[in-house]
Amino acid sequence: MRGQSLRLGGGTLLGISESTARRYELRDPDVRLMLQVRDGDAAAFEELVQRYQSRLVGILEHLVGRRELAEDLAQEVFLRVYRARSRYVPGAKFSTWLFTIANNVASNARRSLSRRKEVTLDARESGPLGAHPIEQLAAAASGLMPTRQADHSEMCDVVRLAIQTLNERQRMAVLLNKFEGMSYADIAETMNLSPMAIKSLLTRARVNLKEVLEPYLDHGESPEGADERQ
Amino acid sequence: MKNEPSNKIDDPARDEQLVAYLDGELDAESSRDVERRLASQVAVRERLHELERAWDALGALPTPEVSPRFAHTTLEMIALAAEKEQQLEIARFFTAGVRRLLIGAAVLLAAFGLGLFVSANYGRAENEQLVNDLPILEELDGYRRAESIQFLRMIHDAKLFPVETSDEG
Repeated sequence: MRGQSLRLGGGTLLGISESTARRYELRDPDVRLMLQVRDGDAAAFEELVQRYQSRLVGILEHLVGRRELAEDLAQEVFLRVYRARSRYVPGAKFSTWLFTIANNVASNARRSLSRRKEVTLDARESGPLGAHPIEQLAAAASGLMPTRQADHSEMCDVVRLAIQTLNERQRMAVLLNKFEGMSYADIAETMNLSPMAIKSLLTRARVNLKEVLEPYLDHGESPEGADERQ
Repeated sequence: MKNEPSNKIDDPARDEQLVAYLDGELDAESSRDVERRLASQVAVRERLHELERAWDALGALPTPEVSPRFAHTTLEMIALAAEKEQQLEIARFFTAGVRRLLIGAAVLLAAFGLGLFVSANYGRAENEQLVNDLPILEELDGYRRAESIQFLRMIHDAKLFPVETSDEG
């Protein structure tokens, strides 16, 4: 994480000029809060937790698929932030640093879970979920309103499933872009990729989401083939 | 670019341009280029709409609200971690302090021993030299009046003056 130079973002003094640090301190109120945490201000840390807890849990829940695990992981992220406070030097926006840690924590958790076979991983690297994505979406929509005016909770379920069809990197890029409003450059820094790679990831993610959601958005009912299985 | 077929179904380069345009990531010139194509090519407009629609559907998801208990337990966990850190720091400090004390004592002892050794040996050598030179020192005034060593040797050889030495008795 630079600046936070675990590479990035928040962290060591390596490779971060004073002018860069000063620039982020001036522009980002969360960086200023983190600098107060560095100087021993417990209230500042509490403020950061309050500001980011919901967003962090939300993103982690999409990444690992489980709310309870997402909350545990979010606490792990905050703990890492706290432990790194004495070495904190702002080399990026605070949110970039925070989500870099979150990405790392989520990746570790997924690896650990896959070893224990507690979750089903995405079947393919770049395509929709497994061999029968339509059936999964159909199952989510089955028995529900057939009209295009879908119930909001049904829509949420379908969208969540659609996000789960993305691979890990596509999902992270989508979440950071859509829900955190991060630029390609910031996402690239968070994920340790180039902005061009992020552009490509987001494009493939959008195309995949379109393919998965379009039947539901267009017709609001189970697509062809899913009816036969029912 | 404008002569390219506009009805390609699968055009990753076109899709990348459109997505970057939707995300506000294109420079001014590239944005104008996309806008020209949108104005003149129906297929490009339709593709943009498809990509946008699926993306907008993500907005249906609410931001999860965590319970107040979450913040409380998080801060409790941090406070415990901070306490543990402090205890480790104190333990490290005392361990380091004891270590420094022992090293300091060892250095002092070594310096003291070295000093004793040096002063004992150096002093002895100096004293021995002084003892050897004592006969000369006792008659130093007389020796100073002599013109040369040869003259002194000549007097010695001639035995003109008896040598008085207490140890010859």
